[in-house]
Amino acid sequence: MITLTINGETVTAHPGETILDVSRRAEIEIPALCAEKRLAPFDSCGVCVVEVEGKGVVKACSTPIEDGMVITTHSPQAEEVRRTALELLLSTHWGDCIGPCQQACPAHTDCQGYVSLTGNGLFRDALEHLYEYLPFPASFGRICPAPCEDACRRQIAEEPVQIRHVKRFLGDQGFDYVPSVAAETGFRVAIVGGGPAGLTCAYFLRRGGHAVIVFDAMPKMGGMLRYGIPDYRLPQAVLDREIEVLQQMGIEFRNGVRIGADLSCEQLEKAHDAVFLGLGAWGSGGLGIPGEDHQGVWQGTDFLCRVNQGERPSLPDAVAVIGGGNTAMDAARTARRLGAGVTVLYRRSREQMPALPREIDETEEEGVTFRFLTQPVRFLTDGGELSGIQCVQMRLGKPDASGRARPEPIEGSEFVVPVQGAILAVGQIADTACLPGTRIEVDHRGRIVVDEATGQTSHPKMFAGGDVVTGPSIAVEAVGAGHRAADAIDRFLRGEEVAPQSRYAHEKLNVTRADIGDVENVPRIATPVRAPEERIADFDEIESDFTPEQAVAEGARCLGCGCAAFNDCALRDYSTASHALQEAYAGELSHSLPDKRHPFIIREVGKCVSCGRCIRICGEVCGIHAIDFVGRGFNQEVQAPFDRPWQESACVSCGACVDICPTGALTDRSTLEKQVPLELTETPSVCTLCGLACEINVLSLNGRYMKTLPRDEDGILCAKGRYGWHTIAETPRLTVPLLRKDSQWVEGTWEDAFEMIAECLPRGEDETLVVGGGRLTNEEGHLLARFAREGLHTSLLAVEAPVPRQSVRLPLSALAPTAAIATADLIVVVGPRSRYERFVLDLQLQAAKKAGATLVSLQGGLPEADVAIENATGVSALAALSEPGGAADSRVSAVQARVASAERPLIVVEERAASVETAQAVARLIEAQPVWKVVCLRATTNANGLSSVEFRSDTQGLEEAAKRARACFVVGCDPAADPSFAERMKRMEFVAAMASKENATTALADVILPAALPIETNGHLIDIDGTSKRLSSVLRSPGGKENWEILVGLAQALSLCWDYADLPAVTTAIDAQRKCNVSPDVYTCRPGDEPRGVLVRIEDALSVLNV
Amino acid sequence: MTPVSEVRVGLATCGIAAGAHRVHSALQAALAEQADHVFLKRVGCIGMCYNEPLVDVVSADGSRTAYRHVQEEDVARIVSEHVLGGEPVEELLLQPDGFFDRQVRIVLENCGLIDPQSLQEYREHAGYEALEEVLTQRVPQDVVDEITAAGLRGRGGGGFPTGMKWSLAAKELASEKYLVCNADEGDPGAFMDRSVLEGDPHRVIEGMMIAAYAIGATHGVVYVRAEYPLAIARLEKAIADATAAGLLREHILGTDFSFEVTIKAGAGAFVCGEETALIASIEGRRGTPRRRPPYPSTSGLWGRPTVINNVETLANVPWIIRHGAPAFAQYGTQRSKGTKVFALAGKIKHSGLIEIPMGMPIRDIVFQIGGGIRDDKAFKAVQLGGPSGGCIPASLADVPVDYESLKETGAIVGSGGMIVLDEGTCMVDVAKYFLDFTQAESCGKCTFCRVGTRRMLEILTRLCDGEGKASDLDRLVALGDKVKTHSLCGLGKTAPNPILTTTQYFHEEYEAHIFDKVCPAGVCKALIAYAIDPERCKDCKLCVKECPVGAIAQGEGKFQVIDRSICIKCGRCRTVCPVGAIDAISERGEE
Repeated sequence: MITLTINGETVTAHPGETILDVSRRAEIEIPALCAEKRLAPFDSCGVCVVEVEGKGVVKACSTPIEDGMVITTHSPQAEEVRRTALELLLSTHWGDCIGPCQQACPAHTDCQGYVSLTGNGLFRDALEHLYEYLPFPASFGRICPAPCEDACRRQIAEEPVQIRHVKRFLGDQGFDYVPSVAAETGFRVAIVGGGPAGLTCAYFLRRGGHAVIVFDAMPKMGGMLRYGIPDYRLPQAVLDREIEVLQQMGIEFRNGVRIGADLSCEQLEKAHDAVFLGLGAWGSGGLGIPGEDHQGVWQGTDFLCRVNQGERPSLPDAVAVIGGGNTAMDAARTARRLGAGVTVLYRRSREQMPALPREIDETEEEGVTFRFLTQPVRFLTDGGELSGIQCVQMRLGKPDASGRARPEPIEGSEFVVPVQGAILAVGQIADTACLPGTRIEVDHRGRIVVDEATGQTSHPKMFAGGDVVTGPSIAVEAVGAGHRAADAIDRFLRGEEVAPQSRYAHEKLNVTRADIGDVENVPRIATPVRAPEERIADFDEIESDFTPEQAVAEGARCLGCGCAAFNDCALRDYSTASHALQEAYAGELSHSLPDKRHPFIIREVGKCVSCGRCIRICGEVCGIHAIDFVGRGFNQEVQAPFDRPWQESACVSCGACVDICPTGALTDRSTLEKQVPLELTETPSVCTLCGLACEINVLSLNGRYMKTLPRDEDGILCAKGRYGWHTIAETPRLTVPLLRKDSQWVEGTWEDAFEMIAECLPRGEDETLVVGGGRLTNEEGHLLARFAREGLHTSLLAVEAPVPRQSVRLPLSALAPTAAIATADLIVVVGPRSRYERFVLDLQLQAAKKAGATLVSLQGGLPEADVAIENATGVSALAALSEPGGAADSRVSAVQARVASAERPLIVVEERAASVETAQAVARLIEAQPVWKVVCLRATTNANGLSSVEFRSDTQGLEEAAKRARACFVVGCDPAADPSFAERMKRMEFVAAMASKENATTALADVILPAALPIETNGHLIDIDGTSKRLSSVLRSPGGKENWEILVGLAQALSLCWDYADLPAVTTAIDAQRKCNVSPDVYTCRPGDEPRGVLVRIEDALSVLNV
Repeated sequence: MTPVSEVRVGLATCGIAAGAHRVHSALQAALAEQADHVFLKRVGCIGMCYNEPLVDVVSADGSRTAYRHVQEEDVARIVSEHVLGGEPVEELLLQPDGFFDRQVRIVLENCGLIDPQSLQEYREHAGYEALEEVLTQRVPQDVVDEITAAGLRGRGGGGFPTGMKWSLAAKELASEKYLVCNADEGDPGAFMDRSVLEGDPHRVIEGMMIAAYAIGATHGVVYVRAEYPLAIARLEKAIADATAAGLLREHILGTDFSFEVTIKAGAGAFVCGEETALIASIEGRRGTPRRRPPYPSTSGLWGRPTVINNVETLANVPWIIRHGAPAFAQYGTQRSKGTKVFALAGKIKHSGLIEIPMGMPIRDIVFQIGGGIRDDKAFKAVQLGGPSGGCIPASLADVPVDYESLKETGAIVGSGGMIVLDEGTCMVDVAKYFLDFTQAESCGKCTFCRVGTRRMLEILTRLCDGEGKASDLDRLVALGDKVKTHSLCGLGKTAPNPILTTTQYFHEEYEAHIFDKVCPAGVCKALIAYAIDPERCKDCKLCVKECPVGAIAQGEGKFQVIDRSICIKCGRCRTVCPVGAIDAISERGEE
C-alpha cells in the first residue's frame, strides 16, 4: 500500500493507480472530460490537472501515484491550467447553453421552454412551466416590451417569435393552476409594495414555504401594473385573476397601509425575519419651468392612476402630453379616449423616443399628433386658465452621456402650442422618504442602493428591488429583481451564503442565416388588434388572443436554440467552477448544424470537445466500434464510416455514447415533436421488453413519457430498453372500453364492458380459454389465474401463445443466474443472436471474455466468439461435447479440449431460438457432465414470475382443449397474430380482449378493455435469475385503470368475493403462496417454426416489440 | 595521367531534381564504347546540393576529380577531354570551398561514393563486416556495452542514449521482440534520413540487424514515409539482395540468428514519427500517440518489447562496431559523442547535407562549412530542429552544437534541420511558418495542442496582418508555455518552441509588429510597401516588365515609382532588380 496526501487528506492507494483513480475512490472530485471510470485513460482533455508537490501541474488521469505524494487538486496553478484548457475548448464550442431569449429576459424566463411546449400543443404544461419564472403570464403577455423577442434568433430568418403573445395566450387559457407550496419553513417575510417586484418576491418566497405578507398603500395590489397601465392595455380583471392565484397560495395582503405613516420600517423589521422593499417610483419629475404647478397641468402618473381607479375626468379639447416614454404614450392615448385632441411634445426626434415603437405607432394610429424637437419653456395662462405652452425648437447635437444625440435649442425659434390642458410625463422618481433611520443606503436620486445579484441593501435583513432601485424601468425588470431577491432571502433565512452561484452560459456568436439551417421562412403571426377608430371609443382591451392553432404555429417557429444538455453538461459545470470565459481564446470554430438522421440520437458536432468518450465506450465497452475520429487536428470529427447516418454503421442504438458524452454533442430525442430542454421527472421502473428485466429510469413530463435511461449511471441498455418505449409511447392507444353491438363498435363505460363479459363469457368447465401475455406482472398473472379458476371455471391457461410449445425440462440444479457469466471460464452460446435483442447480455459475455473466458458460439451472431460453429441447430456440436472424442470438425475438437480443462463451463441458451432437438441436446449434455450450468434466456419477460403464481400453460392437452373452447379471454398479448389461431378464434362464440392498442386479436373481439402498459403499471415481475423486480406506474393509463383494477372489477361483476383493498394486498397474497421463482422448462419453438432471433437493423429490433 | 576507371553521377533525389538523370543518360551514351574499362556508376548524395548535378571522374589510382553543375551539353567535353584525353575540364571543376574540410563522415561514409544498389560494392567497403563480427564473435550484451560505451544517442531528435534503450529491451523476456527503424522524417527542409536510405541502404539494414541481435529481436520494420519512393525502392532492392545473399531471414551467415525486415510506408502524418503513434500506425490504427509508460521497450509493437531507432542512429552502428567505441567517442563533447548529420539550408551559400563532429560552434558551420551568408547579407539566426526546434540568434553563434548546449538556448539538436536566416527574414513570419506546419500536423488528441496551436497561429497571423493587440505577446507566451507543458507527445510539447525562442531573442521584432505596425525585415505584406530608391535605380525597367499589375510607372525624371494603390506586394520587382534599388518600407512610416 502507498500513502499519499490529497488536499491535506491522507489517502492510501495501490501501486499502479493514477491520481484520478485514487481521488475517485476517496471521493475527492477532480474535473475530467476525457477520463471516465469505465474507460482506459486517454490523456487528452487537459482538464483533470492537479498540482503535485515537486512536480508541478500534472494530469491526474495519467500520473501514477507515488508514496508520499502531496497533491492539491485545485491549487491556483492547477486552476489556471484547467481554466485555459476549458477556455480553449470553449473557443471551439458552437452552441447555446440556454436560448438567447432567456438570456435577454431580465426575469430569466425560459421562453424557449414554454414557447416550444406551446408548439407541441401542450398548453397546460407550458403554462405550468411559465409559472416557474413568472407569476403573471396573462398580464405580462399583454404589457411586456419583450426583450426576449429582440434577442430571438428567428429574426435572422424573418421575424422573432411572438413570445409575448404566446405568453398571453397561455395565461388566458383559464387553467385553474395554483403552483404548489413547499412545507412551511416558519420564517416570516414582509414585502412592502404590491407591484411587480414585491408580488414576484412574495410569490417565490411563498413557493419556498415561507409565510409572506404584502403591504401596499393603495386599495388594491398590483402597483404600477394596476395604476400605471391603462385598462385598454391590461384589463384589471386579468390582473385580479393572477393576483388571486397568489392569495390562493397563502400570501397575505394588507392594502391601504403606508410604510412610514401607518407602520414604521423598524416595526416591520422587528416583526419579520426579512423585509423586501418594492416601493416603486411613484413620484413625478418636473420640467422646472414657469407655470408648471398650474392646475391645468397634470402629472402623468397621477392622471393614469385616477383614470385606472374609475375616474373619467373631463379634459379640455386640446391637451398636450409632454414626454416620449411609454407613460407619455399611455397618457396620450388615455386622454384621447376621454375625448381630447392630443399633441405629444418631445424634445428629441422620433428615433430617440424611449417608448416602444409599437406603442408609438398605436398612439399615432389613434389620432395623436407628435411634435418632435420641441422643448416647452413656459406654460401660458389666459385669465387663470391654461392657454398654451411656449416652446422652443430644438436640433440634435453631439451624443450625450446616454449615447443619444443631445438636443440643443435653436435661438429665436420660440413658438406657442395652444392647449388648455397638459400632462407631464417626464420621468418618475423613487420616493424613499419613509426610510430614514433604517441604515438603508440611498443614493443621491433617492434610489435604494443594493447588491445587484441579491437585492440586499446595506441592512442585511432588508432587501429591495424594482423601480425604487433602478428608477423607472420595464416591469419585467422588477420581476427579475423580485425573483433574485426571493432566492437571496431564502438563502439568507436558511443561513446560507446569500450571493448566488451564477452559471456559465455559452452563446453562439455571429450567427448567420446559414447557421439556422434549412428552416423554412414562416412569417410571424400578427397580433390581433382592434381598429383604431373603434378602440378609442372605450377603454376595452385593444388586442385579442391567438387561436390555439395560431399559438401552436407560432410556438413551432421557435428554433430551439437552448441546449438539451443545459443541466447535464460537464463542460458547463466545470466552466462555471473555473470561471472560464467563452471569448478568452476566441478564434475560428466550426458552425455545425444538428444531425438528426438517427431516429433517437441527436448529434451536434459543434458542441463536441473531442474527448473521445463516445468512441471509446462504443469500442472498448460495447465492442461495437461504430464511430471514430475522422480527419486530424483542429478539424477532426467523430463520425461513423463515410459520415453515414450512425444507424447505418455498426451502431446498435444502445445510447451509451449519449450517456457518456460530457456535453450536449450527443443527446436523446424525446417523444415531443418539437424538442424542449426541460428538467424531467425520473421514475424508477423495469424494462419488460425481454427477460433480463433491466432496471430503468423513465423520464416523464407531467405524466407524459419522454425518454428512458439506465437506472445505474454506468448501466447500458439495449435498443429496445433504451428507445423501444419511445415507439410504444408514440403508438395510438385504446382509451375507452369498446363493445361490439350488431357488429358495430360502440364506446362504453367500464361497467358496460364488465357486464357484457360477465354475461357472455361461458363459465362451464373448460369452456373458455384464457391467454395471458408474458409481460403480465405477478399480480396481474395471479389475478387472471384466479379469475379463470374461480370465475370462469377453466383450467385452460396459456402464456402468450395458445398453441403449446414443446418443452424440455432441465434439472433445476443446473440453472444458473446470469451473474454466472462473469465467473465462467468456458461459455457456449446456443441460439442465433442479434446485437439488438440480447445486447445487455452480450456486454456481459464480452466482459467475461476480457476476464479470460473462452466464448463458443454455436449458431452465430456473436462476433467476439473465440470459436464459432455456425451449425443451424448446434445439435451435433452439443452432442460432441457430451460424448468427447472423434469430432471431425477441428473447431469442435478445440472446444472439446477446452471442456476438459474448464472448471466453470456454462451454456447460455436462447429459449425462443432453440429447437426441440437443441434443447434436448442441452439437456443431454447437462446430464452427461453435471459440471455444466445453464443460463436460460426466457422468451417472455415474466415467464418465471407467471409460473410462480400458477399462471402457466399446462401444455399437455392444451391444444386439443383450445380447439374445443367456446370462448376466449385474451389479456396483454396478440395470439390472433397467428393466422391459424385467428381462424379458431373466429369460430368462437365470444372473445374478450384486454389490450393497450389495436391488434389482430382486438379486431376479432366482442369486447375490448383498454389495458395499461407496463410503464403504467405498478407490480412485480421475476427476471430470468429469479430476482423479484418492482415496476412503477410512471404514467397514467389512458383508460384510467391499471390492469389489476380491471381484473378486480371483472371479478366484482361476476360477484366473486375478493377482498383486495389495493395492489399491496395482491402482492401480499402472492408472496404467501409463491412456490418457485425459476421455471426449469425450456420452451422451444413450435415444431416447424422458423427460429425468431437474428435481427439486423434497428427497425427490425423495434418491430419485435409487440405490446 | 592515369587512365580513368570510373565515372560517378550523384543520383539521389537532389541530383535527380537538378537534372542528373539527363547527365547520366548522356554519359551512358558517350561512354558506350569505353564500357569495358570505364565504369559508369550511380551514387547517392555526397551532400553538396548547391553544386548538383555532380559528376566524379575517378582515376585508376583512386584519385577523384569532381565536376559541378554539370549539364547534358558538358558531357561531351568531360568525356573527350578528361576521360579520353586525360585533361580535366578546368572551368567545370569543383573548386575547393572548405565544404568538406571540417566534416567528419561516419554516417555518410559511403554516401555519394558507392553504388547504393550494389550489395557487392557495399561489402567491398567493409559492409556487413560488423554484422559478421557480432554474430560470430560477440554475445548480445557485448554489443549493447559497445554502443553504450560509444555514447551514441538517438539521432531522431530526442537524444536518448541508444545503449540504454537497447539494454532495457534486451532485459525484457518475450517470445518476440521488434526492431523498428524510424524513417518517418517529417521536418520541413530535412532530408538526412532520406539521403542515407537512398545513398547507403545496406548500412541501415546492417545497423538494424546488429541492434536486433543485441536486443533479441527477430522482426524488423522500416517505417518510412510514402513520400520517399526512391528510398523505398532502394531499400526494397537492398532487402531483396541481402536476402538472396543469405544475409536476412534464417541462419544468417550460418549462425542461429534469424531476422527479417519489412517496410511499412507511412501516409505522411508528421506525428507518426512519435514512437507510440508510429506503433499505432504500423498496427493499422489511427496514428495518435498514447501516454508512456509503458514504454515501447516494454510494450511496443503488438504489445511486444520494441526498440525504435532513427535511420541515422542505426547507420552509426556498423561503424562503431568496426572501429570500436573509443574511435567514435573521440568525436564530440563530454555528453554528446560522435557526429551529427545536418541538412544545411536557408540563406547560406553552401546548402546541402553535412556531417560534423558534435560540439562544433554554430558560427563555424555557417561560415566555414556553409561558406557564409548568401549575397553577403548579415547573419541573423539559425533555426535548428525544424518545427520542434527553435531559433538561435547570431549573438549566440558561438554556442557549440551538442544536446545540452542547444537545449539551454531553447532550441534543440532535433533530427538535423538547420536553416540559416539572414537580415531579410522576419522572425514572426518564421515562427508563423513553423507553427502553421505543426498545427496542421497535430493529431487532434490533446486540447492544448489541437486548439492551442491553432489559436497561437491565429495570433501570429494577426500580428503579421498588422492587427496585433497589446495583450497578444503575453498571451502567446503564456499559451505557448501551457501547450509545451501539457501536451501528451513531442509534437505538442515542442510546437511552441519556434515562438518561445523568437519571442525571447527577437522580442523587439514582435513589438514592432504589434505597436508600430512595422515589419522590420520587410516581409509581412500587410505591414510593408515597396519603394524604389532613386539613388540606386539604374532605370533598366526590368521591374516595370515584371510587375504583374502595372503598378510601376515612369516618375518625375528617369526614375520609376510604385503606385501603392495598385501594388499587390508580390515582391517580384524587388527580386528582379539587378541593383537592389527596391526596398520594403513600412506601410505607415517611410523608413
